Amino acid sequence: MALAPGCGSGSKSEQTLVIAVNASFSKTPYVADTIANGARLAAGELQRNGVLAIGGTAYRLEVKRFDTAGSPVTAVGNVRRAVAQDAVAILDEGTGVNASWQTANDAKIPIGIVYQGGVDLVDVDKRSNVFRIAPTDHGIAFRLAEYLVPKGLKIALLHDDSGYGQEGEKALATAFSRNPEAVTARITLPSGATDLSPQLLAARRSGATAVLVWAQAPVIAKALIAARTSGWDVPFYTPPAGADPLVRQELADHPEWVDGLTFASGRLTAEQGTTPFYAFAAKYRNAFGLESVGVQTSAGAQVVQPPEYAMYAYDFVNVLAAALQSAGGADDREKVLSALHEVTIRGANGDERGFNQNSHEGVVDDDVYFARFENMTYRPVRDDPLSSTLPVISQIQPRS
Amino acid sequence: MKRLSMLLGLALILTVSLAACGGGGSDEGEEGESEISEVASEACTGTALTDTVKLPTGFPKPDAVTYVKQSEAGPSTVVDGRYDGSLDDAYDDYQAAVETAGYDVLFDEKEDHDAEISYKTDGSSGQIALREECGDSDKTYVHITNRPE
Repeated sequence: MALAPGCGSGSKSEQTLVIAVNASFSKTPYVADTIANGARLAAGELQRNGVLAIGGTAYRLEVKRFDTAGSPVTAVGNVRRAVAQDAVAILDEGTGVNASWQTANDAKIPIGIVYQGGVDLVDVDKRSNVFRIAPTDHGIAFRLAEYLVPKGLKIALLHDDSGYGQEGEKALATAFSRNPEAVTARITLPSGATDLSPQLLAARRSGATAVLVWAQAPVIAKALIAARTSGWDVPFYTPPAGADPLVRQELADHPEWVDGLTFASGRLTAEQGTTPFYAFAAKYRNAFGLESVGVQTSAGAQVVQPPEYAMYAYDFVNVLAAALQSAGGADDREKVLSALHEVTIRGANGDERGFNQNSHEGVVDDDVYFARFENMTYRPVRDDPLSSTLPVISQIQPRS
Repeated sequence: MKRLSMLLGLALILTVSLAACGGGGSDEGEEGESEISEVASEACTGTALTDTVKLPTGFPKPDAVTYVKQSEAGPSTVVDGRYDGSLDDAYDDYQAAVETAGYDVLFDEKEDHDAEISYKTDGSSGQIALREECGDSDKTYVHITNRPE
């Protein structure tokens, strides 16, 4: 295996393996930082005395950050840089993967997507090096349709013009195609607009009794502000971006506007309950501190964000390490890629994580649940069979 | 001292969480939990469906399975029923049936009290969930969600 240039690795018995994190550290720092931190936590745990020993080789795992600034072009350039540094894997937020996967595949480098759920990003047949541990847009969209249509709601489907929003629009179009009577309008929200009042007014005039906004966090916040300032108290539903701290930060002056916001995301806990996830959260907190949301409950308690996407990055690095072990090291990259189909680990929340020849998805559709905000924190809803069985995850900073 | 304060912090988080899970008299949780156990109870003891089951033709169905209830959830079909046998037997039988049907297994997992098989076939995907919720070790609750592509 070629060594990572500039890493100071010398002999065959000691090598440095770069794990590249390709995400928008400058534009969406919450998501990017939590992905990088999850990877760092796993890398740190996997190394004993600073190395991961496989066979006769001592590997040093180095997590490197590559900022996409939200640009697909920059993201593709970052993947080229990661390939040039002989990265053993690329942990990716998802932006630009449609163009970058081939470059990584040529170098037999796996890409692990741990945020975006775009349906076409992962294709087990055509993109054999692309894997994902994150809820898929397909799962989010279908679970939302399964949850909302039986309620008899008339829904305005809103999406922003980002890649995230456009992928969401595609998934929603499929999921709601059999229930057109449930949809009153499909409206694009310009990400750059400062005021979304015209779009929300159009949604209101369409006769909507619910709004589903598939957009990045700043746009969700602006949509909520536009609706509430006009006095429209319509229920809001979102994909996982609704739980991004930025939404609550933007609405910190009107916490009551956040109340009732319902988002879909991957369940944080498995059959074992909260214990495995809390153990992971405690390790994360000890390593990186609490992820403060920057808002308070009405009682003055500081709200913290559970390390959800850090968990997916953490799990992917652990699956990668299991594949490296199975392949006998990192020398044969084809073998490592192949081994990724065969290994399974116990993930941070106690659930099994792994891939197989039929699926490169680490989160199944049926693990999508719904949570609703109240008083700046969220809890699983009680009117969905899966969600109703899930415990509430604490989001309050313990008083010192 | 730092370790002690960290442990106290963790204990507080767990306490808060458990208190939240327990809920009060008016906690919505009780409603949700009784709702799902009601569905399971019906599936475990009810009579067999007489309507045509709206699952894809050739959907894997072990002989010991009885479908009791079906419903539409937006675009998806949900079917509840029971397997006359243990969770282990239900899981093994379903795995064999899914393989025989030629379905792709996307994910499967068996834990102490439940199991899941996520599948994909031409035109649909979904999950067969098996739960020890019949109150009888010789009966297993079967919950199927099938989604059109």
